[in-house]
Amino acid sequence: MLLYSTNSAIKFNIARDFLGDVHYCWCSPAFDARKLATYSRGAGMPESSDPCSIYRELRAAVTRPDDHNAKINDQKATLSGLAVKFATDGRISEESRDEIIEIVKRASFNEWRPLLYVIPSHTLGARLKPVPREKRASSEMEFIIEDLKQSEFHILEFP
Amino acid sequence: MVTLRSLEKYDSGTANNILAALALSSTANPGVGEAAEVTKAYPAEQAAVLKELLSKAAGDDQAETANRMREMLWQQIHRVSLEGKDSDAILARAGQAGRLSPSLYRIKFIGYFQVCISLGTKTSHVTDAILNADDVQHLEGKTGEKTFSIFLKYHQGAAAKDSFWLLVLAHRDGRDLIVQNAWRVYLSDVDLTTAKKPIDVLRAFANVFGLPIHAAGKVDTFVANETVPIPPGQVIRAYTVKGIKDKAYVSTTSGYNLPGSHKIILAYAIDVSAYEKSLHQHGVRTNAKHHFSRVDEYSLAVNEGGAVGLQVR
Repeated sequence: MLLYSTNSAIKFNIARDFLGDVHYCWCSPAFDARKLATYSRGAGMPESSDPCSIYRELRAAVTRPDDHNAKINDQKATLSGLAVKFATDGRISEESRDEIIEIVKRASFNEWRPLLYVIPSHTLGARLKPVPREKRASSEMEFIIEDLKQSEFHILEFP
Repeated sequence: MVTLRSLEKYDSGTANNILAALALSSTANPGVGEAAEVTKAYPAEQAAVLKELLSKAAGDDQAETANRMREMLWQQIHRVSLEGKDSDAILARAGQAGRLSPSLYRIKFIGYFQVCISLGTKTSHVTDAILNADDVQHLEGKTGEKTFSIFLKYHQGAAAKDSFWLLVLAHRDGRDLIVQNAWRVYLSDVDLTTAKKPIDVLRAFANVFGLPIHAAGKVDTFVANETVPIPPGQVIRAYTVKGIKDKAYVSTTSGYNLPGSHKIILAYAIDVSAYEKSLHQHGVRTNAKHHFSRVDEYSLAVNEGGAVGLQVR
């Protein structure tokens, strides 16, 4: 089974440079719910969880730069919050936390462009964790991988 | 950005943790983080901060209010974390370590890069390769010393034989990326079968177009991470580039002294005439004016105090 996950380039870089190239991602077995037959698995994925929709939304945000773009503000808040959390947990130093937070503040719009991870699932085993229903946006299946190595997925970027 | 009243009574660490918990519990974007246990921390404090943010962020509709609130959240985290700190110094530290986002580096070119321009590479190509690299490798150097970054960007040719990787080599010095040279590595000219990292691509390129370098008792067209002992009180040749008489070449070297030895981070010398000939075979126009060497070899002389100078023969 192939899994798909859309993440910003800056998130990829932060995981690579500050977290030992170990990537956390939330993924779906369907790339674009709109293209699926009505009753097939994945067709009911809402836009907020659909990798293709997230890709389009981020792509639009960086194509028409807006300092107050909601998608990018959401990403900035989450990445800044994660930097604080990781420093509190001792996973990164306070210096690294400061660097991440400053990078998040100052990075150009292009750094927020989307990257699509394509993840073959056959080697993941128990590392592929189903998201509990109460945390999912719909009844469609979603998965979390907490420790994905760069050698375990492909990155696609569309112009 | 002023301090939130609801955070005034807390130390910066606690204030930051409250803000982080609120930021992660309110994320609406799966794929960027798991809130998990941290969102359950400081529930009363989160509620107080949320109430104050909502009062400041009130907009025309719910979506606008939520957006303003999210913006204020990351701005508050920035303020609490970095208050009183030198932001530029923080970015310089990240840059020196190779952790900076590409767009935050200041890209500069050494004067000698003109040679690469005369061989058909534009500075805009290099900037694009840095900002939108397909792969990047940051080499480690001695703390506080400049070291290298290698960027790769793939270019699809009209014919398969004309597809190439643009390889850019730059010094990192804080936030500055000082571009040394850039090379077109054509897949039809250079065997990249075993290349796994950008430095492997550079090595393979030097294997085709490089001149022999003598270092650490070995001869190779590409030297990386070699240590040369320096006997006390002596001047030695850290490396020697030979066979350069009547040749035009571009050499790149970097190293530093350790107690009793000299560490070569990187050393190679490209035969520019041979490289230019391959560019012409791929239809690249050049206007290089070569300076041909009058000497047959040059060496970097070092002693315990550092580099002494270049010796030529």
